[in-house]
Amino acid sequence: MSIDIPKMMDFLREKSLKEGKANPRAKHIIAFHKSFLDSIRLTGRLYEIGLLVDYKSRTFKVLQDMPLAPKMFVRGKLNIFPELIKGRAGVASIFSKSKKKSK
Amino acid sequence: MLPQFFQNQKRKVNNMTLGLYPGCSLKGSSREYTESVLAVANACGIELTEIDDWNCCGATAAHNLNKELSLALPARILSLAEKQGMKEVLVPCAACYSRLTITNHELAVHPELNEKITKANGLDYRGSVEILNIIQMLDKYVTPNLEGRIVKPFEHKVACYYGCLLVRPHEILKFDREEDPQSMDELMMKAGATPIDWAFKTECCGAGLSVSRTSSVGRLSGEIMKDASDRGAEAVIVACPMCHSNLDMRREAINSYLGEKIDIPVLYATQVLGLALGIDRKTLGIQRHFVEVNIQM
Repeated sequence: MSIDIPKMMDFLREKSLKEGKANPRAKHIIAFHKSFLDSIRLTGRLYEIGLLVDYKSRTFKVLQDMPLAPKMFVRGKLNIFPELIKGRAGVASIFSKSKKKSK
Repeated sequence: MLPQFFQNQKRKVNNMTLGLYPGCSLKGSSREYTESVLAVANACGIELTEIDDWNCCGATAAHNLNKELSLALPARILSLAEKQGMKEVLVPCAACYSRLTITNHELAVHPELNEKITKANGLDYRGSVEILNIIQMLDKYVTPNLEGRIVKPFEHKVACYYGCLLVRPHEILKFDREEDPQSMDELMMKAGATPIDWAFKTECCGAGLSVSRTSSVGRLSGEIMKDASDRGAEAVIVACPMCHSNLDMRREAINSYLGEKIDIPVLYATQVLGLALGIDRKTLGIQRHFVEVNIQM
């Protein structure tokens, strides 16, 4: 029997977070993941500007990547408005149910 | 006289329809990947129908933080595709492809998990959807009909970069070799390119750490670009928007880590194939890259 290492790593990440034992050095990575999931919960899809604003508010890294935004914009790589899916309520329900189960 | 690209439109060879799951990056920061996928598909008579009302697959964030969520979000997508009558769905993003394929597998081999995930979320999924990554789709529907269609061979040395997610885990994806994969190399040869033998085909670029730990991306992607450069590659070829973003948009961090300037461009496999098919650079979104593509055809 082989050991599924990525699956084991995901399990340990989730468990350590629930038990408050995540490595403090990973706080920005966790903040990014949380901001990412918040964006999906609200719109159904990733809204990149919303993600970055949320991430900066969690980490206070206000100036990080500021010069990048206009460069992305002129290349058509940054959407000003989010894409809202019709099934947002269904996606939000998936989030709330999975959150309850993981407690 | 019609431009070459439009002349190619007349030579449709397949006339078939596939489902398409673009994923979030292909609608935003990797818009040029969508443009090149659609242009190549169009030139080859393949109609791609986007899954209506698709949601994000959850990406790294979901599978790092919440297993249930990492399966339920892709399950909604698969359920929508099935309801919309799609038998095969193209997933060009390697990360989305990984999440959807792993979910498809988990739900198939663990019926109790399928029941739990789908029932709890009011979804219905019988497991009938087959997922194709971009190389699989091109291999199946495009390359068998390529003969005589390569009007501008991409005669350059290329480093095919597969990244972590396109070929792993082999037990589930059953696509190409985990070490030294060949499928993209073969595709590039058909487009007229010369793939180099190099050591970083499946090394990690830093993936989703682009914002939260840019220095790690600079180091990991830096090693990849250095090896490609040392071995004489004129372009690095990818099939993943995250890999592209790290190798292209984060070039400043890469060059800063390396202490030297590497200006080798990074192209999507579909952009190279599109160029070889005679499609113009703008249609393929090549002008959107951060590292200028100065390669002459």
